[in-house]
Amino acid sequence: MFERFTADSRQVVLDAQAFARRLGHRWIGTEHILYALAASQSDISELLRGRDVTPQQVEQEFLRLIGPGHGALDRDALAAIGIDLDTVQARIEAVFGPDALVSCAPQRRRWPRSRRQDCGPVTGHIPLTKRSKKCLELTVREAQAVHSGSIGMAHLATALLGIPDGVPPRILAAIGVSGIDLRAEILSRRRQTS
Amino acid sequence: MLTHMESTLELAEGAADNDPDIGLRAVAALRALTERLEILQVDNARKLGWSWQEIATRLGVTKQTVHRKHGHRAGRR
Repeated sequence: MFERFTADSRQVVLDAQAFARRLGHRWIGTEHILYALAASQSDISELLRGRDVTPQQVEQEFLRLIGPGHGALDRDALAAIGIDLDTVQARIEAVFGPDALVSCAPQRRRWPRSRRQDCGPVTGHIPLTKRSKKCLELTVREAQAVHSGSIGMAHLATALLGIPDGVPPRILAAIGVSGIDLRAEILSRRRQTS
Repeated sequence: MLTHMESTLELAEGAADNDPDIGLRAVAALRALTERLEILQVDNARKLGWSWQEIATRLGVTKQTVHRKHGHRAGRR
């Protein structure tokens, strides 16, 4: 399904996975995709950030609603005691490579202690939730609806913002914006440019 | 709406107010950060051929402790 996704929209899904790992979550939900969209460098993220949907705000409301998972790197909590996670992350990645810190999340040990390899760090693939899969399907449909050959950020954003349930609408409501309004804005902007 | 800086400041002030919610969250986050750093450093040391004893000395724990915690990953011996 991913073949026709543009490089940047594919990157959003990868960033969503890295975000889930950092927070110690073992799923990639639409809320992680929302964060990755807001954190990306694109017209879409500019529009989102212009409406206060910044990655920091999304993370803050997300943690307030869901809470961190096991072994989460909670950026705001670390900042409260004077530790800048971005600085730490940058230094570690300079030595150990990109995503080194986020991809080495410790796992809960099984009991009795298992010697199997799968109790190692979470380096592998984290599954998409049903709703995230649905979101990617809707993204394909958003692109088809406007006869676009490639599937880009705008299609992903409009698909995500059109989903009425799940965590993103609650995050957006807490920030004080409406997903439906944001979606309409993206669509009207696209009509103007095309 | 709060900007990121303001929200951080708000948290820092919370810490000064002795708010357990913020203080405990900071402890959990710091522990998580330490855990991850330990995994990276221990794996790296093993890759460079360090013994469990050498690693344990630097971490200030016994070699059994380090081996029990990290031995199941790469570099088991």
